[in-house]
Amino acid sequence: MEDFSNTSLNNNNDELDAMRLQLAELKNRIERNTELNEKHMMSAIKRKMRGVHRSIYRVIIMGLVAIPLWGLIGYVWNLPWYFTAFTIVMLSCSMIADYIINHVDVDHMTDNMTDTARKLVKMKKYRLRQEFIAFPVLTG
Amino acid sequence: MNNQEQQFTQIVREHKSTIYSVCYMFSKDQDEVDDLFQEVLIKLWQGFDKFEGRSSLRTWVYKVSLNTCISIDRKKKSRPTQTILEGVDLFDDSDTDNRQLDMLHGRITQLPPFDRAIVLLWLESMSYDEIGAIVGISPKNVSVRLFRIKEQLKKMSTPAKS
Repeated sequence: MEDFSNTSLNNNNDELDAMRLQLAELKNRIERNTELNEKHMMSAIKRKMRGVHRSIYRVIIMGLVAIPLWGLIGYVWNLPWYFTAFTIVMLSCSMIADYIINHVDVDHMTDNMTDTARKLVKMKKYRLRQEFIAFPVLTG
Repeated sequence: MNNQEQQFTQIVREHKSTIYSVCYMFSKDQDEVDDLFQEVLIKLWQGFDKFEGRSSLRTWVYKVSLNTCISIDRKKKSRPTQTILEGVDLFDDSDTDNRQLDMLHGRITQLPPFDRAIVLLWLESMSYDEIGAIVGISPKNVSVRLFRIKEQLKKMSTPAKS
């Protein structure tokens, strides 16, 4: 009589071995497509950077509208001049900081992964600091 | 480029397939793979000068990649997505090969993120000790979890009986 007790275990092992080979094949393909993948990654990063630039420009436009408007509100509501001036200065600084931190010359960005990683890390670090400072100051 | 940058570039080039395959298994579409890859790149660069060489580079790259993907997976909200291999000319190969990779991707992505990490490491023929060191559990716990994962994968491949 045939012993089938190990059949399902063997089938399971065969499938898992097949998965192992498939993963190895995936990694081989990635290696073979090195140039394609790097260019693809870099274009994705540049696309993201351009999206960040669009949001910076939106903030600048809103700021250019908000600042004189706030001055007018301060005049109409008879707010203390130093309060109005302080808010306008903070808004302006925030806009300038946003531009300096997040604007990257995308078209001249190198295809160097290290350079890209460094720029992305710097952006994130400064953005976090900006948020930590700007939020309590503006809401306070 | 200074020495540290050269080393980092070299590490990324050598382990790019590892990083990419991990990101691939934690994503549902091409955009997500790209986003995850960028995040892993950032984390690797941030942690590079703190890497003391106590573990192998491969282990370190895996640890950072998996931890990044798992934490992002926990934060992200579900959204309608396109499967990664539909109409994407990522690999210029036969449809049969793509279908097999699609199946592999389909099975692994059905697992919870933590189990996905364990099974990926196991499929790379790592020992229980290595897997435990990367994901932060004991080797015994790894073996218990792997047993359950294998059972789950087995159920996925067995057609349901009517």
